[in-house]
Amino acid sequence: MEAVVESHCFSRIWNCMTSSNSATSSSWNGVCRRRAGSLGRLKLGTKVRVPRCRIRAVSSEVKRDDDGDGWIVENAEMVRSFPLFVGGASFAAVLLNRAFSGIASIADASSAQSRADVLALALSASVVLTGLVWKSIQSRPQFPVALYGVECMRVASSLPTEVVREVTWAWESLENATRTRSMIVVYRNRCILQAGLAAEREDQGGPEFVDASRVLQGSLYKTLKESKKQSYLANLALYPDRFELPFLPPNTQALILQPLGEDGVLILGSDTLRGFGPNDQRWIVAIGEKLDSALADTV
Amino acid sequence: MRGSRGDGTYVVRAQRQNDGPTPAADDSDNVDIQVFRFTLGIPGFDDSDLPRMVGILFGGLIILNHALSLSSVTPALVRSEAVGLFLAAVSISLPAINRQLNGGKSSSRVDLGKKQVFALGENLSDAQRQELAWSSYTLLRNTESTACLVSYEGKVVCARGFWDAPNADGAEGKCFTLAWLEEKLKSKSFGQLEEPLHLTSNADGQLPELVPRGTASLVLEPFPESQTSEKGSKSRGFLLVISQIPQAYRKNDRIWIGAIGKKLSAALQG
Repeated sequence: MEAVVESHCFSRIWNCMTSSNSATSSSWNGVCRRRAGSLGRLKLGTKVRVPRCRIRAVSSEVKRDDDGDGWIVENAEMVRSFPLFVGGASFAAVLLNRAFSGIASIADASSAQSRADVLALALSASVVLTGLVWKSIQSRPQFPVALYGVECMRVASSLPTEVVREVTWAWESLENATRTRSMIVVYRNRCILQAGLAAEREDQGGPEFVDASRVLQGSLYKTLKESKKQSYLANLALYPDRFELPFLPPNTQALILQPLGEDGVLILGSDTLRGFGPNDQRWIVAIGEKLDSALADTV
Repeated sequence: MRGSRGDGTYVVRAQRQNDGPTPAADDSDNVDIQVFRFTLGIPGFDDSDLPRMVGILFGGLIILNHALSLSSVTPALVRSEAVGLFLAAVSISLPAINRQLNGGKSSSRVDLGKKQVFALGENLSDAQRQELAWSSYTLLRNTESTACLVSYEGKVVCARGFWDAPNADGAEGKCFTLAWLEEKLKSKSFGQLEEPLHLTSNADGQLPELVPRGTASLVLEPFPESQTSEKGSKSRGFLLVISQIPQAYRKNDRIWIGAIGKKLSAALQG
């Protein structure tokens, strides 16, 4: 049965980014000077094991009222448990029926009753196993944490209006659609944008400034520049290099570094451990390409 | 990955399947895992359909059993059979529920035997062309969309993907495609919608004149009202994305589509 075989594999849940979404594979005509690699990818070797426990789904302050995704999706938790209950209850019902109807406890292939019971038990087992499969592939929930920091919105001066519009759009969209809580754009030794939560300066308060050249010389950026691919630090606390980014709130949970062309980086911090899903990463790659092409002509 | 066990009597094939987003109650993102899973490896048979096969087979056997033992039907047997048939029905419906849970992404891809188009309207500035090219490309790549369309001030300014457009090549062909789509849109005034229109299934049945056959879901995102245009005038536009997969647009996708709509409307006005 499907579920039996599958349950052996649950310990092998990989955190893996190689998402292949290709409704069409045409290229983005004439806009981008170069496409940054294929798709966003995890840094090699970043392997996260998801424990096998099943826990309730992630809940956060993201609006969860009426998703418009249909009843089944909105009540996914309940629907996932449904086969377990139905299968288990039927299993018990068949056995009780047998026990209380005074049927001999020996299963006898020549008796219609035994044949029907065996078939019903097999069906209930199949339903229960399906339920187990549905329940087991669930990730550990991650709750957003309150980040220590101050709100900040700094856009570099003397930028053309289109570029300002572009970066503010990127920030607003990312803040809205993903769990991004801080966004920093560094391009050619300049900090173009610092938005969202930033660490507070120790001496006189206010948000910490971004030292663009320090970021570009740090080892985080060097690795990024070599790979030319998105790097996702799903659990930022494990990376000592995080001290190269003192302007992020000190308890930022997850971080994405998206290279922008040759000499820039888009830094996104999240308040949730593993806060960026594969879908978010794809969008971040796309936004990175767009920001690069917008900034390349002007900065 | 392929491995044989024992003395080679059977082969277990493991596929890496993306189980799709696990749409737990709040699903602003999809879960970031992939699972190595063993499959039966029968070509043309989706393993998630297994409960359905079991349900049909065993349900049939229960009926057969009933037919063969009509002479000795006892109340206990009837009860067992009732439970068995109920379970068979549940089993048969499980794959359909599973598909809904996982956003239909586990079902096999639809065959798109059509030609892709990419057409941009005339009289657009370079910046606008870039914006349209990037947006349409990103939407097709990052969502399950098969085609998208941008209409502004009653004109179709961008069409990309698998539209069922009549065959035409070259620059003239593109204009022709746009004009053909415009003709189809004429009877509708989607630009005046206040809220995004979201159809989760059978979109081709509900808007047969507009979308190609086989379209299951669509999102139509009207551009936000601008200050310059008069209220209620037909001057606004909209962004339309369609997909062959039912429930292709989850909440997160729709947020992004809204963001792209906002960006496009700003770019087209500017």
